Amino acid sequence: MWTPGSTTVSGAPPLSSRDRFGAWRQLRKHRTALAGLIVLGGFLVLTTLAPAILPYDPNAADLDRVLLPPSLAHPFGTDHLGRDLLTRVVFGTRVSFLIGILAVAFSASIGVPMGLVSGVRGGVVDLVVQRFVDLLLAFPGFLLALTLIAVLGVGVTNVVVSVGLAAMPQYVRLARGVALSVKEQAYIEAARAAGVGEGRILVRHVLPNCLAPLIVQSTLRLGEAILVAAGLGFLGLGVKPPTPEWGTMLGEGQSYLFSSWYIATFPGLAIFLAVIAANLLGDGLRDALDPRLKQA
Amino acid sequence: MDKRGARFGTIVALVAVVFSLRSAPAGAQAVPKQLRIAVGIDADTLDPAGQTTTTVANMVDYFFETLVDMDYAKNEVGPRLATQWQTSRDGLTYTFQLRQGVTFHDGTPMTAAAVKSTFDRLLDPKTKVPLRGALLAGIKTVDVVDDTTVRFSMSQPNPLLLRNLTYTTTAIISPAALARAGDRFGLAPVGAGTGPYTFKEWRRGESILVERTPTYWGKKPSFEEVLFQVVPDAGTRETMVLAGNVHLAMLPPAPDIKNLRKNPRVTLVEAATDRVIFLAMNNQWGPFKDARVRQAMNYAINKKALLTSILFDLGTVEASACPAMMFGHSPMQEGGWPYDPAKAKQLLAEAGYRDGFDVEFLAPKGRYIQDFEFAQGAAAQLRNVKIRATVSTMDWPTYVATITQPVDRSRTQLFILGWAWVVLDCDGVLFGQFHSSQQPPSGLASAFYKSEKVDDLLVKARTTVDVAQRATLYKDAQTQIWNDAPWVFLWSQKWYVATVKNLEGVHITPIEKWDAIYATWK
Repeated sequence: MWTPGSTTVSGAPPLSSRDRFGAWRQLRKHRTALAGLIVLGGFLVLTTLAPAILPYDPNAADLDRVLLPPSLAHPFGTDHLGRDLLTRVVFGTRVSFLIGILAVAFSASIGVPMGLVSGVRGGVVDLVVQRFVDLLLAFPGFLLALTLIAVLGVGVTNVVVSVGLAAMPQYVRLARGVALSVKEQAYIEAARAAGVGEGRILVRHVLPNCLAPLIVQSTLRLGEAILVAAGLGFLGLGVKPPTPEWGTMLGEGQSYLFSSWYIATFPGLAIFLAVIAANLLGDGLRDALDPRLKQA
Repeated sequence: MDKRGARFGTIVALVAVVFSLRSAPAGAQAVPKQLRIAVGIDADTLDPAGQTTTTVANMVDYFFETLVDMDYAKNEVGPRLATQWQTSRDGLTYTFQLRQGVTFHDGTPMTAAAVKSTFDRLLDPKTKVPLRGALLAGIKTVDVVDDTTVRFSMSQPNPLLLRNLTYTTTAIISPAALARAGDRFGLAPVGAGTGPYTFKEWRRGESILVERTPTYWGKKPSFEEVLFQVVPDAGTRETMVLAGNVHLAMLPPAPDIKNLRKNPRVTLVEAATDRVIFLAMNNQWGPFKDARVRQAMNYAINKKALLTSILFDLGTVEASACPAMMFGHSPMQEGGWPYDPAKAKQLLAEAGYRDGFDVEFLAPKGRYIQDFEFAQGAAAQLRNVKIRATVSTMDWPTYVATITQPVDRSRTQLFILGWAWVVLDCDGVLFGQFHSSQQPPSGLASAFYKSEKVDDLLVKARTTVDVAQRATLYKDAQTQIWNDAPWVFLWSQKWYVATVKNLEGVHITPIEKWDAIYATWK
């Protein structure tokens, strides 16, 4: 049951436990999504085990072993300071995923409440919030993040804030769409008639409707956040060295592309894998959680 | 022809065009009419007086000439527009005999009056001459004696004057061309020089074109035209010279140097320069106030290893604060301060830093060869003696602003700096970096080193005319500086260009210029 009038976002009712079960079954049938899930899981397992299985310190320079091509001792080779690249790529997973997840959480936690209030309240509030969002949407996400980091300065926190703010407008639009589609529903009217406060209606009745699209959106955004954060790192605007971060490593490897291809290649592959895995999983989740698509 | 066929045909045609465009310059073996040089930056001004950047001065040298020329092989001053000169005993008068029959590119004769007008303009405070103070100190007046003789009168002796007159800034300009060009002189100095090439066109941000001077007084160059193409990205410059699109490219990326040295299609021309690279310690900051700590820093860093592993040997470890090719250089210790971490730890313990200390280490990115990269290597070596250095970088204008704060406001602790001078004399590095009057904000002596003895020696050396006496003064100053260790002394950088194999006779000068006017095609 969804509102015939909803256009962009489905107004699915809150997920029941049966639905959730159904969604998982649905997802399991989705091969590519499952592959995405496995890759992401693999990354998480690797980072957790990394210190135990890798013999090198990711930041220890060894000038006697610089620019070594891949070998048994160094499967990904070593960089210009003689640091083991496999170790750095694995440790880089932590930083890149940390930034990605925090940035997504940050933008959702600001964007969703803004969108819900905007949708339910309507009127002037809606107008002001939506024009503000229009303003943000006028800039490409990366440009916005770049501008913000230029103002805030480099560092993990600032990267999270920049990337998060750049992705926020999507969440506002998403939550507003859901709010608009459900606010005239009979059960909301009933709640109102029963004297339930507006805040409670928002949290108990409107917000749960957002969960499915929110999960899909966040998974898709995770890939994008990792990519934008890596882009900032590539430009030297990410985390401070020697902290291993994929984008920064890619940037460091750039000038060695002709002479030592492996420095840029492996962090590049890691970014590629992480982003594509997040996107595949997001696609699968959308198929599994979106009832409209399920019927189609 | 159906639609798909038409599309296929178009693609084939496009590919053919692209290939024909690419192969024409690469395959050519005949002497090209035009020599193409890829440079990293565009000019700011082509007015010799306004020069600040060596690469720009390098291009200006194609069409402007100075009175005297620097012979780097012999390390002495030779003739150019002046054929002979005499210096009075007291060092207060210089008389130059000008070369006869030289004309400017606009056809007017190069006479004593033109020389006078050039120097009057240089000394006029209204003309923008960034290097005026450094190059023209002591000149009172320049007078015409006769048509081919000029006399320089000095207010005080300047032992560097002749060498200073070899630099682009003091090149002789046609008064007629200058008047004609007016405010646009720096943009289009048409007909104003006497050089082997004549200025033709400057497309801002793109290229500068010069053509061979038919009436040149000296030896004629091989190529009819030279085109300087502005290519800011080092990797692109390298690709262009490998593809044969340009014949000479300045500073290809350092990490590719090893491969370029081996590549049979290009020649890598590299040579030592007078640019010294060092870690400046803020001598007024915490632990660095103690000379033992500064000496420990010198022992803790393995210069040779950094040079070999990170700089691909594009430098030479320096044996003094004043680099080897400068007048007055006196080697203090071959191979620099020895690498001896045990000794470093011992000195740190004596100074009360048994457990080391934390230090903020600033490094530019892309200003000097592998600067940010070797900073990380040096920081790793410092960590071995428990000096915990955190490396950070900032853009160059901010960097300069940071290190030129006066001592009471300076927040610097340790930072990378490179220093070079356009004239090969110890005065250029020692006075500017160690004389206490040169500390920011008045100068760039940003290590805040202060020694009355050194101050005294350096002032004497820049006003003494006697050559042997000056050398002794510099030796004493270098000894004191070396032992006080206000810097971590590192190396002098090489400068390099890559050329196509056919181009021969390209040299690198010690002041970071290429010398290719008389290059030939084999």
